Amino acid sequence: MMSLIQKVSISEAVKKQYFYKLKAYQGMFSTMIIFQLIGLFFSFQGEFVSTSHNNIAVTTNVYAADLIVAFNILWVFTMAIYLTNKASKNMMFTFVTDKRTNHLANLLFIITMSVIGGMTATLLGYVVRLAVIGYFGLEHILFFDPITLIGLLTSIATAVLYSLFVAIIGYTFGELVQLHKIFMFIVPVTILGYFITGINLFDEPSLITFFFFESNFSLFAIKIILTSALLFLIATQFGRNLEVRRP
Amino acid sequence: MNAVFLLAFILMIFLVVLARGIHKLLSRKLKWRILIVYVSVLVLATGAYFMLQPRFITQNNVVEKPFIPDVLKQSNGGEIPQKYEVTSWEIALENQSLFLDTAAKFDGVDFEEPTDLYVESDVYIPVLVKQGEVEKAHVTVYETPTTLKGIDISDHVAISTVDVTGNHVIVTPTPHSTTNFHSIRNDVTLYQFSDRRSMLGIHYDLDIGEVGLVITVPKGTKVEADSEYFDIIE
Repeated sequence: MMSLIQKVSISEAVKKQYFYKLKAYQGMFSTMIIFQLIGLFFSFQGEFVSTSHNNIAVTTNVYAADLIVAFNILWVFTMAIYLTNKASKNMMFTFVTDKRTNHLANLLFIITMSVIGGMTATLLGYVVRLAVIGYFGLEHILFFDPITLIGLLTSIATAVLYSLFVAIIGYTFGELVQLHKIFMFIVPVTILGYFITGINLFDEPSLITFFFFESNFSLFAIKIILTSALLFLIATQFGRNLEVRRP
Repeated sequence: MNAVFLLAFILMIFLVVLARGIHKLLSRKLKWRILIVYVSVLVLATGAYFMLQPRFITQNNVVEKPFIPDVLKQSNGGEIPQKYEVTSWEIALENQSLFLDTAAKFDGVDFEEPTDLYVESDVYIPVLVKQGEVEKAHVTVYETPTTLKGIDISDHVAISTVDVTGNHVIVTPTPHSTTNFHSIRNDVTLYQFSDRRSMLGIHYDLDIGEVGLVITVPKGTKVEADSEYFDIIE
């Protein structure tokens, strides 16, 4: 008699689950487009900078893709939390799986979201710039920051890394909430409290300056990757013993 | 632009509300196609931007300019470069006198009305007066460009103008004006690793152009000007 039990390697299981998630959550990418388009429309307003001297006032609308990247980060954060909810976890019980392979498949999916999101958000910024030049005409563009290919790649990589970092934070938060609902309130209040009390007027070293003020790209990438790895490891430890499908 | 933005925003909210319905309506294949088309369009747009970019870069020419009062106050009555000369007049003087006025005062308007507070502070024109062996008075107007972070914006911003009526040189103060510009900068995701933060702090760098007069008059000519508005250098 042939055995019905097949031994599946971890990598095989992770791969299967990852492709399953890609199919199951493909709607997330439509949501990404909507989030980015909202960012796009806000970006058309630009940052408003004004200065005056005696009778003369000069205003400048400065355009960039910062808001699109911000909306993209909001999207990955939301989607990463979504990956940890009860429905998403129960869905994976159709597979012969354990928590470890599920977490690894989720990590791959988060990386995919971050790469696609970070790349498209940055590239959408060039649609904004082209539209601004087309709408107002080149003669009304006062300042223009040129971009090199290296600059573009750095910009994309940074957007991807920020997306990944925030997505992992969202994923960890989601896992924590699954442990106990009280964390749904404790974590945001703690983070908000940190930001309020930690207003940093003099650029003193803090968690914010540690990441956002790092001017060396390699160091920045190492910091983000290591911190994300640490957070992900913590996330995998939550509810480790909850192996049973919850109703 | 604001109306377009508002309409677009309302449309976006409408789309978000319908997002759930859209997900259900779209087939799996179509969703992937939409993503592929979206990415392709973005890549093409970025490619087009890179190809057109050299045309945009030529816009930024930083202008160096002299400070007119300093040049005129040099001990030898320093000369302002020719390129800053706007116009000049030859004036046949009556009674060997020349008057320098501001337009408001010349028209008999009280210049110290509270509403004109800013107009008043705007007019302070350096005037180099030379006396020489000439038959007519010669008035030359110099003007330096108005710059924003070193970029010449004179074509978009009007400053004080000078005109001549009889033996009156009349300066019309800078009119109230608001000028709008648009600028394109790199994303903060790049600024973090860049020393070139050209767009940051542009509001500190508005430098209004200056108007200066060089007047050569026949010897013995009396030049009368209100010291509140004109800085006579002899």
